[in-house]
Amino acid sequence: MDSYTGRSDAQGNVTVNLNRNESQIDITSPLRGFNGQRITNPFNIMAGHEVLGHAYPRIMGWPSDEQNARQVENLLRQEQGLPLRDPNSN
Amino acid sequence: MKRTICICVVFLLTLSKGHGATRPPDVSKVRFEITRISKDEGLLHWKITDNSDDGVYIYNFFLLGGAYNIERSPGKLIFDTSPIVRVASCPPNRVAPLLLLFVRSGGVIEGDFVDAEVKKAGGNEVSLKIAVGSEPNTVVEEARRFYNSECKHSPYDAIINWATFLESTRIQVP
Repeated sequence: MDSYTGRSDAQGNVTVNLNRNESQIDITSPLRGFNGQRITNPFNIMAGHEVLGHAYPRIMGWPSDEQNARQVENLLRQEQGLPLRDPNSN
Repeated sequence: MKRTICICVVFLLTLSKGHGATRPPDVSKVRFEITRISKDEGLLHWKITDNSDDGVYIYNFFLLGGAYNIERSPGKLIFDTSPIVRVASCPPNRVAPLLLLFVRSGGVIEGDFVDAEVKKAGGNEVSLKIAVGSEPNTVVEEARRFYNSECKHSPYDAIINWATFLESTRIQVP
């Protein structure tokens, strides 16, 4: 199973499910950068994508869709000196 | 007279809905079996035979392995080649493309599923589970809608809404 962020509960809390293991899709169809090259999908980046890209903005009532999460993910990648994710790469 | 015509129209609409494009496939006539196992290679050779009057579509991104998920119970493992549980969530970190394999009426398709967990399954029975649907269009549309649903639905939920799940014959791992 892959990492994902659940819906808000009645109190507005959000559950994040983080899977430390590499998911099957990471093996079958590796993540791609802007030049079509394979890029890594490390756990800390996945956690940032879910927590800062989906969960935190959901709690704050801000846009928290997938495009938003991928923008946040690329900010984190930039800070970490990692290649950026092509937002259209599944 | 008008009332009779109205009743007839409603009746015909009801009938046409029952035979619409989204009706579930008749999987009772689809045979799904594991015909061979190689424990050393972690391989299960599968065979799908469509004995129904219509072609069927199989969600196939994980059909060659590894599994999307493994259901474990004492003495038995089921390798799921599709999501099988709805999870109201944002899209997962990685979203597998919605690829479908067509099996025509009367057709037979075979393939090899490979997963390292098969190598560790000695002493257990194993089987595969596939998602079968009757048409390819609505699931793709719904997955797209769910992807943009502001985290109300995971795009994978579209597969679960669309599919009938079919478990293969079981085979004992030596």
